Amino acid sequence: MENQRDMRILSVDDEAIFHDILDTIFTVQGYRRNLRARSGAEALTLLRDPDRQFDCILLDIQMPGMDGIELCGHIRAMPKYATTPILMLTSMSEQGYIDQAFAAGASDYLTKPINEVELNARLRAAFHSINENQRIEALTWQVETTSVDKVGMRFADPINLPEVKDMMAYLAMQNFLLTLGNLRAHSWSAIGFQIVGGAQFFAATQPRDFLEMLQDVAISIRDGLKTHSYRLAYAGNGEFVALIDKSTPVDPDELQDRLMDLLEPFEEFHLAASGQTVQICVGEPCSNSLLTLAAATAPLDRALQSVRQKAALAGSAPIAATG
Amino acid sequence: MTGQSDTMSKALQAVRDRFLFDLDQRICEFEDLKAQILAGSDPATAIRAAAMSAHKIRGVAATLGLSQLGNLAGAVEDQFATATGTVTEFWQRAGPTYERFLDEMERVQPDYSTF
Repeated sequence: MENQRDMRILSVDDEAIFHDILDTIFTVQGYRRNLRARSGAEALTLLRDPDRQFDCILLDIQMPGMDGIELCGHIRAMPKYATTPILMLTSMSEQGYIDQAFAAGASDYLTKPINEVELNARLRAAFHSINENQRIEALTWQVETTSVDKVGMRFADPINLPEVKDMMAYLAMQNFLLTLGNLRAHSWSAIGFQIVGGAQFFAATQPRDFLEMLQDVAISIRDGLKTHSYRLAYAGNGEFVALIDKSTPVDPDELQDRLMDLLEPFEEFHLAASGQTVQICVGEPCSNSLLTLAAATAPLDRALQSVRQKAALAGSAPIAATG
Repeated sequence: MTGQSDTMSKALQAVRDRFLFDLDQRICEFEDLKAQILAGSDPATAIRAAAMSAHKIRGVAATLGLSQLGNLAGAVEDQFATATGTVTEFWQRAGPTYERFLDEMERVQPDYSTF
């Protein structure tokens, strides 16, 4: 697909007049492959049809019966829509539902009343993410099914880790923070995790082994944070970022020790694959101040900087942020 | 229309006309819900239904250039979605907004008697 206007879009809203608005905007802007559903059940029937494929899905949050959040969870459970961009349609009164929507797998959101410029911008972002997802999915598939050296995979790639539940794409995490805005994002802190010597592991192993090692680390981080409310994403470069609810603060040093314990069962495999054990460095929690002018996503960058500095101080070589 | 280009506003005019044409039916539904709320047999269900219907109007009215109607629909939704107390207390608080909302729906309707 070379043009964003070639995207096959499914819009789900119980309000017929809203579909008329969307269809009009789509027609004027040149989107020709859009289909409407009036309920969650109707949408699932269309999505389960093996002869249909949609590239982007717009979901209203408030619908009678199955609401948009529940529907989003059902869609994400379908393998063929595991990474398809899902844009939630919300009104200002539904901002409180947005973090639930992201937790259910939403990629982005769009606020009603709909503005044609904003809609087009969100669809453009969705289009770029489709292309990136396709590249990463192809890469992940190659990694899992071939033994060809590196299969074009770069260390910097934010590879999907489908075997690990409750992870979100790094782009979705950025959208999540942007959605919250600085005021509500203030209740979350970002913590970076670096696989010490990750670049060397990548260079020394087959892609499949590297992918398995990432999964081991993700599972360990998930288990280490299980008493907290959190979101976890793989950012590429052997680095993870977690958003953690500030009401349950984390001690990075304690967490780092705990992660080392959790990784112990995998030690033998990592040694055999790469000749080295895997160690994790945990950075300091980072968040924006309430009155900052910085972007809501700034804590993610600062969390990664923090863990890089800490790993460098601990004596390891900082991992280069390039493939 | 609010925030839309001229081309888009012209294209949305037909949708706006349909929306306004159907407003009569929506007004009847809101009047019916008001009667159910004040009758008191199952006011909670009627309040929830009114909040949901107002939510739908809130979502489309401003896109169609009816910003005042969208604002009043939003105010009704917010008040009805957080309804507390007895029906009498609730209606004392929320009733005036509801009536303004109904008045605004009637005001924006075209005068079909001249057609």
